[in-house]
Amino acid sequence: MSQSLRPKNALPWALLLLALLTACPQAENYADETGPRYSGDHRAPGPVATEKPSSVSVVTFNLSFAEQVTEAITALTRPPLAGADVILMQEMDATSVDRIARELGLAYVYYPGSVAVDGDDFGNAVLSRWPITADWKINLPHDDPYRQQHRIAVAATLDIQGAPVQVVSVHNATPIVGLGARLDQAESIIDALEGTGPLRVIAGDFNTSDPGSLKQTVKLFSERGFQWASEGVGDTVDSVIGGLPLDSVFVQGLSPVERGVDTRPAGSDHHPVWVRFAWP
Amino acid sequence: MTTRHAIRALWLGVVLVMAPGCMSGARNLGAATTPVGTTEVGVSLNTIAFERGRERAYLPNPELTFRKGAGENWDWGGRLTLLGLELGTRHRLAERSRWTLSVAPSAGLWYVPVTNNSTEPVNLRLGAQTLLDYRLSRSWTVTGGASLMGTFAGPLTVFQGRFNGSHLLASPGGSLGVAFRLRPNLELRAEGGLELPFDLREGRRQVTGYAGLTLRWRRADGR
Repeated sequence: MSQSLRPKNALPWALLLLALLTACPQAENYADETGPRYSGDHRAPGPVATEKPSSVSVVTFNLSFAEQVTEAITALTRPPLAGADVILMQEMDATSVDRIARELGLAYVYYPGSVAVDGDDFGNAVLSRWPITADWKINLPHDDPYRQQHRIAVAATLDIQGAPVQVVSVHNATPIVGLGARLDQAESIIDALEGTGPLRVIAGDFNTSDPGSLKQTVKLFSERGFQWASEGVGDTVDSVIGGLPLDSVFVQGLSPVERGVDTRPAGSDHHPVWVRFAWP
Repeated sequence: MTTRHAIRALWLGVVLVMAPGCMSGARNLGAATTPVGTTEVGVSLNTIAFERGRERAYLPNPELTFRKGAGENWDWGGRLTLLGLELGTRHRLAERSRWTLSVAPSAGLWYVPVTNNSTEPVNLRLGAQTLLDYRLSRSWTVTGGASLMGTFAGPLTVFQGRFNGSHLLASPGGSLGVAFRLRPNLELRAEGGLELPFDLREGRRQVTGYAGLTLRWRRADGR
């Protein structure tokens, strides 16, 4: 037996391996069903518009740890994103959500799901030009197997001219968690909307980067009566391995009339995805 | 091909090689034990079928196998994938002129970077396979197998005592193979098999399977 294979020489390596395996930092999660919760209303004071809107536009945008809020605000205030009725955001912290809502004159609700590696909260937000009459956090199954990071979705009921519209800001787990688990997460969100009104928008970062994952996700939503409203917009992230279609918008009860991805710099590796719906 | 295409192809190749490790139930073994004083090494190329999301997917899965004769009626050995190792013994229980019956208990450990339904980063498999050879001629042998494997699949955080997301599975299975002896010390084996995993918490999972070829050499051990 060679010197290097003797058990006494293997012991330090085994101890080093064990130390590495047990030293991975665990994510700090917010597993509470009700919070933490942050909300605000920066819409211009006065009565809500009484005219029936001709269309409603929805934007979903993962702002990549909310590091470049100024750039995001610039993007959200220029066409085609300017004047969006609803903005669904991911990887946000409370301060950044409040700043964006204040500068755009929107109401918002925000729930963090965990604390990111940079120490900031990491969660999802719904920002709206219309009143938010109810909101809740949807805890998603299947935590990350390396850090046990927990994922959530944030649902809100918007009052658009007396019609309740359910919107959900989604941030599914990364592909490291496996496609079956991410489909379970998507299905949990659909289940959570059972019994609500007929107008529903579920949008966000579904992390559908691995082969076949977008197809199966679209199939799941289709089987549950949702239309892929952002179909055909293309890749929503530029990465080292090329463009990836991570972000999607699914809808029930509304008809998409226009959609796209704003690929200009917006402060994130993700590009904002937008869909304009005809108001029924 | 652009640099981006090359990186994407490399990424896909890494995923193909690394992802399936523990999902293969392929053992590519016959019932006849390796004679004392000899060692067999083999190269297998299997295609595995497994549950991915809510559909079935197929991937290639290369493996290296080895067996070493340890006694008149038993040998030991294993198979090595890129990120996994399974070791076990094989015991000859009965032999007639055309028949050999063996049982092969084994234990394996696999690291799978990307989880997949009931596959997690840390995967332990423990179980046994019963093998029955029927020799059609000096060159041809048909092998039937029945197996029962227990699997623990857990997140990497099991090393910190956090088992959230773990799975326990029982997987009965069967296999059918045919071996052709090309030379006295060289065998080619084709084999296919199925497993019916049952997650003790979530119930029955999709059937998994494999089909592949193994080329196995035998040589006398040096003294």
